[in-house]
Amino acid sequence: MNIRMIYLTAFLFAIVAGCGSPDVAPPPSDEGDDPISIADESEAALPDEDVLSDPDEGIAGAEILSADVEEITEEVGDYATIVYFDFDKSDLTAEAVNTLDTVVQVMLDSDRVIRLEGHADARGTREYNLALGERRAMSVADYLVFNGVPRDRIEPVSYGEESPVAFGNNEAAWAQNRRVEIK
Amino acid sequence: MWAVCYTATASAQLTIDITRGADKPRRIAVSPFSWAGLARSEPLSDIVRKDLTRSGQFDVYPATQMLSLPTVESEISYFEWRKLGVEYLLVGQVRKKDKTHITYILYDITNQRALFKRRREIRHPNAMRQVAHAVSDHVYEVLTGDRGVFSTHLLYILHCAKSRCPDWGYRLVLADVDGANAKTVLESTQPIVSPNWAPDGKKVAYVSFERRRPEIYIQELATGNRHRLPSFAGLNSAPAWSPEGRRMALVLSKGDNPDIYIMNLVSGELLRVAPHFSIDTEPAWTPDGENIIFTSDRGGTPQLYRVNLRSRKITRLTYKGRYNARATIFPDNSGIVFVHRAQKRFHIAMMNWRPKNMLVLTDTVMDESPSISPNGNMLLYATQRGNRGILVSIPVNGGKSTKLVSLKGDVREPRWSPFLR
Repeated sequence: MNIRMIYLTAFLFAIVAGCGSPDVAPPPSDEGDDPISIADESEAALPDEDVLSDPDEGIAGAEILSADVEEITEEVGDYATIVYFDFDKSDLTAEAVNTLDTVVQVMLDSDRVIRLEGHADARGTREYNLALGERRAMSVADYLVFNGVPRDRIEPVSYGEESPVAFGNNEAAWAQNRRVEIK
Repeated sequence: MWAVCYTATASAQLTIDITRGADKPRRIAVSPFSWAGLARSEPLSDIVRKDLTRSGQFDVYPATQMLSLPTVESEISYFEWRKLGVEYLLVGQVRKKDKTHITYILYDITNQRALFKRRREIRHPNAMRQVAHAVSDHVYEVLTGDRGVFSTHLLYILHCAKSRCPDWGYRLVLADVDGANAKTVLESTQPIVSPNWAPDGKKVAYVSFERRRPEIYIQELATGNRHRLPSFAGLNSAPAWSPEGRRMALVLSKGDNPDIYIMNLVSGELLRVAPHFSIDTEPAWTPDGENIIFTSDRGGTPQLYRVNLRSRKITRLTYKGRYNARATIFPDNSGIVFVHRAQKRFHIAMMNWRPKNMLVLTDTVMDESPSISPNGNMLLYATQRGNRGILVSIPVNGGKSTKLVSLKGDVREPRWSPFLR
């Protein structure tokens, strides 16, 4: 069983049983970018460094406004089938197409509604990456629709670079973050 | 060499406008202020020293090396300060009788005279830091001719890993420019991105994922009242107020590709600008409100473009490098700063309109979210140190950088406020 099949299993399992196991994300082939090395300096405050005051203690008695957030318990990556992309690209790789063909089949055999969560790696600007994540999610959506999945059962949404699954400034981490999660 | 000229301000106060080449920062000493009738609550002179140092325009003489600590003119030995190479000396007193006042005097050591003396009432003794910043602003304006920005504010995003901060994760924070007095404007377990100021400095806009998709909100800082802008399928992102404050540039995908729109905030009317099947995002208004500079990959890589809102003429602005994005425009419209990728690293670069040249301003990597102070003299941006997001401020014309770190988590997306008075 190859890695893609493991995902498929997780996806199917999630659909059928409503539960599953977190994925282990396989980084796809990269674009050959070298990792950026960042000197890790001491954490001690340097003479030319100011520590931002802690907003918790910034104002006594001031009301902190909390976003009205519904309780979301799922972890990133849980139950998700994932397709990966190259840097600054939203084209589907051959591997992604294989994965999506399986998703198409599952969708056609069920009436499930899915979210396509587009993500980008940390490089580049946040707003551009939000747009890039959107384009990746749309790229997946277009493929599913082209293959017969009704559009109203697909909800594409972009998180840009705000929800990484891998941390660190190296290609291995970036490759795992350039993704669309199908949930 | 200096040029000294006297100009009368609107309040008919005589101010001295001194300009000189940015070759050598002028040396200034700030003697510790005296306190009488009340307990010393904040290290005022220390705050002023730090403010002036951060501006990059002054060589601030260290308090520890001062030979005397004068608080009135009779205690000043001009000879002694001249020997230390000090050109200007600020002294001050805080006194409480019925009311609390601060008196501060700036001396020109070379010419042995007071440049100005100011007495102000301190109405809110718990706002001593603000008093210190106001003193810094005054000194800065008198000595550089530009308005000081030490009393302005910052917005930034504070992110804390879910494992450490399960209750929130993301905060939109409002703080003084030195990072003090931080207040949480909004907190959420879901991402908050793209904070931006209304031109009046009283409202902010941001993108919140609290409904599990990116949507734009406007929030009043004083009251916390907020509302969501009409939201559309797909992206609702990158809000940017027009200079007169009645319109908002934003990015909508409406289930298609991301385009720049202008929303009339009164009527809700939407206007699509420079539509293209590529990614268009990161709109920024020129100060005259007539152009929008934005990022687009319509040429194959992300580059900066300008669209004139009347003629709809689109001009590509950047050619050097394969990644130029997220422009911020100088308040005097002399040019832009933006994110530039070179040798696989992301730096902040500056481009002037005349002459049209590009200069990389930062030597850190993974630099993003440049923001310019309202007087145009300081650059603030986000970068990484180790795996930690931090902010860095540097004088635009070169000089030492100051890092702003949070012990709580990653700091991102700084936005310098407009002038607030």
